Amino acid sequence: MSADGPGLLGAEALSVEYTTGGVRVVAVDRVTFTLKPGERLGIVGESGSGKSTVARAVLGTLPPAAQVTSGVLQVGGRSIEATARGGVSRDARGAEIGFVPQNPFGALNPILTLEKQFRNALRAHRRRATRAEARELAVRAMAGVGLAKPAMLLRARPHELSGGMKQRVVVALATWLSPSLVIADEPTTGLDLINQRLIMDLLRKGASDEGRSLLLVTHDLPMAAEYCARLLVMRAGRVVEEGSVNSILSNPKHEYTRQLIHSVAMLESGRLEDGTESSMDGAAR
Amino acid sequence: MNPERERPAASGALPLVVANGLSKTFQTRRGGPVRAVRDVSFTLSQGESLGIFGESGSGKSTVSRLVLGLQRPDTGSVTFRGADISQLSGVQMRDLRRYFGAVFQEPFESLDSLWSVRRLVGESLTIHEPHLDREARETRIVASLRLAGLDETVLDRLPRQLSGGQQQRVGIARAIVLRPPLLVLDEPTSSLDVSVRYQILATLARLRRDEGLTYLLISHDLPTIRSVCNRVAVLHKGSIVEEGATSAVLDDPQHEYTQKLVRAQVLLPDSASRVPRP
Repeated sequence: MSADGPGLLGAEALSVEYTTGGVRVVAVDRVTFTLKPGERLGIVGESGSGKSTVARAVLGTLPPAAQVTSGVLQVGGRSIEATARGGVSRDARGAEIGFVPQNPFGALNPILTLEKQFRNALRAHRRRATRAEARELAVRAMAGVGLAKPAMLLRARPHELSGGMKQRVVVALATWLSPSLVIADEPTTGLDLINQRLIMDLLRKGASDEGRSLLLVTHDLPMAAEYCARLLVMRAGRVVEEGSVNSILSNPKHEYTRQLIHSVAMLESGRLEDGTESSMDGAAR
Repeated sequence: MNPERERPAASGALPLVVANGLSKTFQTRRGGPVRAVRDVSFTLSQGESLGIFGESGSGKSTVSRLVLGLQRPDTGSVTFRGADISQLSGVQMRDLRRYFGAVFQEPFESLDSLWSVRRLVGESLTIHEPHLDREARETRIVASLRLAGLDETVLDRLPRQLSGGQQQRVGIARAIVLRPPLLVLDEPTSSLDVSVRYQILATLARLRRDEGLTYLLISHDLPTIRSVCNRVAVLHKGSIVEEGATSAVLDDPQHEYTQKLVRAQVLLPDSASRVPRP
């Protein structure tokens, strides 16, 4: 994939509708964004904002109830009219775009050994490799995400791993074919704090070491602010604000963004109402 | 026990809840016994708010179930105003429940989907205060809803007709309708968006201040604990590794595990500068 186009990935006026029980609901409403090569962009929004739908539309993995109603997608400098299912071809996923989904349980096949899953990924992308070569690559990928004794672990099945280890395997599978872009949709949900840090640090390291782009979809504003350079704030299917992390945090334009920053900052500093330190308690101080 | 709710007393008052040396082991189908809780002790005084921090598998939910009397410890005891709850009969336990309000993580799943808000909130009045007439009952239900940040317009709604935040407010209204001295809050806002979470926690903080409630809050979220609790106990692999005033523990953790946790947190840059000065 060439890295010198106008944008590595993007959408122009992308709209997606869901049909549930005969009712059509606009989940994504004319969303436009561009991700430049090597850039880390965060799509931040709360539940129902449409942030995950944008990612799935780009990936072409929309659920059957959803369809793209309009929009142009840019993938690797090419513009493609979005089809109803959205997105890129299966060939591109994994090879050009790595995907780290929310739920590591769903991302790994529960009945196959990890080694088999790495081999299947190679076959899906028509990469030729002997069994030994594939294992060697997989071992390197597992070691690269900080998993100890990778050769032994490859013989394990997913249920034998902790949640944090599973998500590291998912990151390894998403990045070992050296894609130019990783899309991560709430990649740390369900993980404890230390593993959350670890997974995000891995994603950032891959981005900076290999010049890979990162599209991070998250409800977690501090996470997006820490690991991305630019943010897209979504609410009710629309982009309400876009800009650098610094400009959005220090000078939010939209009322919703202001509220979001306020809520997070108040909670983090332990203050819930104007100027009252809620954890203040005579007995404790 | 005195059914009248006591006002919060000064520090040094008789403890409301004492957990003493609680241990609980579960048998798993594979892998043998798991010691979920090991020798956990804490004291909760009237008017206090104690947070039990723990990540998944730390045993924090088992602690909340032991305190609520939903499970019996293998060893150790929980006393409520000096009475050992594990020694109580079924009937005594039911009577005791009116002094414990509980709010759980999944607001929708913890509310019967076919019941109106009126019935959901009024249910424990039916059980524990059957003498109330219709009007007095309605008054109590509405007062409870108001304390929880709702009003009488939601009385006839079903849970699915409410937002997630409203559902959790119904859960709070239900938990406080008998005016219990103690609320056990088990991950009360972890399924809610941050702006809603902030509002619900603000309601809980106000309730505690204005109504003199005592909280035992179970959470895996440090900001939630910092916002609502004056004390925190850090649970790791079934044991309390550190306990103290919330600000002391979170700003200057002593145990290696707590230090790792605090370092792993991803916070908004310059968080403190983005809130109004106290």
